[in-house]
Amino acid sequence: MDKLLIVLIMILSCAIGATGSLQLKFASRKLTLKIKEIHKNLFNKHLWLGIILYGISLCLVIFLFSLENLNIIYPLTSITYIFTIVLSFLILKEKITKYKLLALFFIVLGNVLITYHA
Amino acid sequence: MESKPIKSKKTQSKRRFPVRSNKSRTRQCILLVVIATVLIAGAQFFLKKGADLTTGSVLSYVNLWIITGLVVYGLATILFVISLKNGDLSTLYPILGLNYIWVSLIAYFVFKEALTSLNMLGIASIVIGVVILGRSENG
Repeated sequence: MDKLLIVLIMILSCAIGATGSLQLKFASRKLTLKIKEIHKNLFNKHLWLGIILYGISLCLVIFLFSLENLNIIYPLTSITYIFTIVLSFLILKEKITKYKLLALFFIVLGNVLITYHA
Repeated sequence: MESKPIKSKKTQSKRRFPVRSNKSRTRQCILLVVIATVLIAGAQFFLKKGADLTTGSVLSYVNLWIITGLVVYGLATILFVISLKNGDLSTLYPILGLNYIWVSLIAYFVFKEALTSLNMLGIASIVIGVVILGRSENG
């Protein structure tokens, strides 16, 4: 399979995954942990939307896993962090401190180094 | 006259307590996400096993390894949503990067893939990133 097409599918998968994590944040606001109300979580539409988006993202990755070795696909999943930070800033209005950016840099660098095989 | 200082002490303790509980709450959130990353790594191990068995037809994707992987993924997602209740998405999401450490260890020990010095540097880098997030959130 063409490398460029694999990269494009991974970027699409990351964008869908980041949207999914945003939905899970919305879902957590209505999440209830009381035993008597636990069934109400089944009607949490953001939870289901988040799981479906994660599922679509995951299906794309499984599809690529069956084509290529783990090592080629994994460095590309770091793109999800960038999408998620941008969405947290734009939509959730979270404060992006310099510590968060520094930590993000180390974690993305770490992800790339771990998955890099010469 | 004596009752006044007692009242001020009470208000002080009332002010301090929520701040402390927020810190410990964030720490609990981070711990939940760390547990979730271990589960996700386990799930991805199952998915890799399942993907190896596929033949190309859609039906071959429905096998026990992939179903187990999806269930474990579901458990990890529930833990992640619980942790998001009291934490920022921009803080907790990057901690999922710990997953890469567990996956690289599984790749080394189970799939006998190489673990180079660069890979070990990567593990250290992720740990540094997660420690920065933990320290900055806990003050």
